[in-house]
Amino acid sequence: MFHTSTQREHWTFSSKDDLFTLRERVNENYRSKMSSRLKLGPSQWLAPDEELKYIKYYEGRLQSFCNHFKVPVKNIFSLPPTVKATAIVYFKRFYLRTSAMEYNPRFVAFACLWLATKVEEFNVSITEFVENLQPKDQDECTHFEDIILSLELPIIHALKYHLTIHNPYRPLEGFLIDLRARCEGLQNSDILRQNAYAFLDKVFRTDVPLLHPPSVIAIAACRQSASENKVSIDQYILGKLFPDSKESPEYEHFKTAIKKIRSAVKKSDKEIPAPEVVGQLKAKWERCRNPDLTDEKLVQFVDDDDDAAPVVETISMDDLVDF
Amino acid sequence: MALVGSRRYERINFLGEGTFATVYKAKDLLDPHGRIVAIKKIKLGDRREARDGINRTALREIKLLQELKHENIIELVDVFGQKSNISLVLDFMETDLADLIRDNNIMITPSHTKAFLIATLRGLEYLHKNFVLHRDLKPDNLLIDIQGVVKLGDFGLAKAFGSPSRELTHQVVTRWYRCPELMFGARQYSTGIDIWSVGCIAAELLRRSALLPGASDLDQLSKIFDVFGTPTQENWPNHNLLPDYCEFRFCPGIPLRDIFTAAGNDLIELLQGMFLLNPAKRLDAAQCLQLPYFSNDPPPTPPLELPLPQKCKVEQEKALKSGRIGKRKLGDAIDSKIAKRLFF
Repeated sequence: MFHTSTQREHWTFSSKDDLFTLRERVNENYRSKMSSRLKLGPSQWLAPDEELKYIKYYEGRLQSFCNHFKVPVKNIFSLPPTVKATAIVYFKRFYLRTSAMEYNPRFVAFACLWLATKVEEFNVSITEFVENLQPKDQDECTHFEDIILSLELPIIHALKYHLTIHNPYRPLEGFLIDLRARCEGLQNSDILRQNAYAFLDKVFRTDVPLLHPPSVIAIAACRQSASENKVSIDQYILGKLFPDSKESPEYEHFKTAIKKIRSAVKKSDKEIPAPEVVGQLKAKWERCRNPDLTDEKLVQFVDDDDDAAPVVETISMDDLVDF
Repeated sequence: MALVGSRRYERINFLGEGTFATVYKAKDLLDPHGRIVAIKKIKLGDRREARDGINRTALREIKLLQELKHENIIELVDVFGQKSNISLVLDFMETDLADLIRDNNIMITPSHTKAFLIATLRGLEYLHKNFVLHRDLKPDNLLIDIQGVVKLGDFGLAKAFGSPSRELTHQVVTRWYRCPELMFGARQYSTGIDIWSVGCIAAELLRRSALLPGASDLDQLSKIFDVFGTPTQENWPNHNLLPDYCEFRFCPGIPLRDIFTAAGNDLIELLQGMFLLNPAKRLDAAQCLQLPYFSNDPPPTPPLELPLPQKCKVEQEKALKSGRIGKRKLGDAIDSKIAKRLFF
């Protein structure tokens, strides 16, 4: 149930400002931790907005990686949308707690998807998974496997061990059934599905999943799709979802949320930075990244089983924020 | 130093080792009463053993238990990670129903049985309301804590249900507690599979031995039909269309009353509802709890008065004396009348 979920309690933020503050703190915290070691001038670190752009770039890559993912399961030709959505939400949450200068977002993205396939019970072996990265030989294949597996622990730690993600796909299917039954003039609600899915694809490029409950996102998708299909579901929303509360604060709140979601989605295309910007960011990132967490060093951590080893300390937010 | 991660717990002793975890008993230093917990340290092993990284069973347990908080479900108190392993901190459970059933020194009265069944069904009702199937209910997984509270444990097979498109595996639930639709290979099933298991557990509480101890999958089905009769199109439409269906020699079944001669009518009614062959007709947890059996006399025994194996009873008395458990901690769990009696 979303209502009593860790998602609602820990990962649904009340405003964009909250997200901004968190990202700023993650950035600041990394700098103060690393400043004595890296000896960089103030403009040589990634600034919070640059960091966000850098993450957005890899988020976009993750989305297209998911779309092209070759599934080794018979009769299934693409990743279920829930696996994709869970992976992207993990990625977003991870970088609310960790700086992009710590762990390489390229591999964190893959590892989030890997973890999502496990949690959503879409069973793929690590070798099958890594084939999608098109390693050039067996050595590289093993290397990729090692990196991804070494990231599992730091990721679920940053996620505070909250692994259940409530995605909008289930409420969307629920609304489509309900619309068929209770929305006059819309017996064939299936016509809404395609555009609603396209809308949700864009939702996952934005911060919307960190700000709104999945059911509200799903109804926003239905409404958008309805208007693109030249039908209206407003009668249904007003009459059936808010039967006697046109003036109520809940309805006002709902209307504002829908508006915010739509405007965020409209701007979603602009969220992915241009290639030349990414090039510059990457050059900068190479200099300010955590030298202890390069791909080579990550792999070394895997076999280090020391009982007295501390809690994964690389996650920098623990002592700072408790949200 | 802040009491976070492993520093929050003081190890007491080693409890056991399973295929993918070692379990320790420990004290929670953050808890003012020094609450006792079980720490399940998940082995990641090296790459050759743990080919696919963190064990899927462990992930399932973390994923589900983080979202579930109920008096009758084992509590995941905390999770912490170290560089190369991960530990689940769970309620420490003294014993389980299987131990109790096997212990010849313990007498299980009708009031005890009622208390165990209420706790089990309440936990299950909550679980099903949250769209989770347990899929492995058996006496060994009904755990009992030091205060006598029964909790559903071991969520390694549990799974979210309700997505119509996804098929589920039928290779779940320990055989003796497995319902007929699973035995026939059903890939779409629901809460009824857990209720059937509770029925088996209830029967076992009454008989002190398993009701349907099938020696093989085929034997399991014939044991089921020996007692409940072979299914017909009337009492279970289309059962013959299930993937692994096979025909059994006609069996009329035995009236439950002849098996459970000491049980009252109200208890027989409950058992009949849980053992309906047709999963669509089988009662759900909420319906079970509404039956007269649970409001009729005798009333269920309060948790602290429930029987425990001797060594657990000793622990309980120690804990009561030291004040680690008692009135205050029990306050919200059971009514004050009982708590008062305890504290003299």
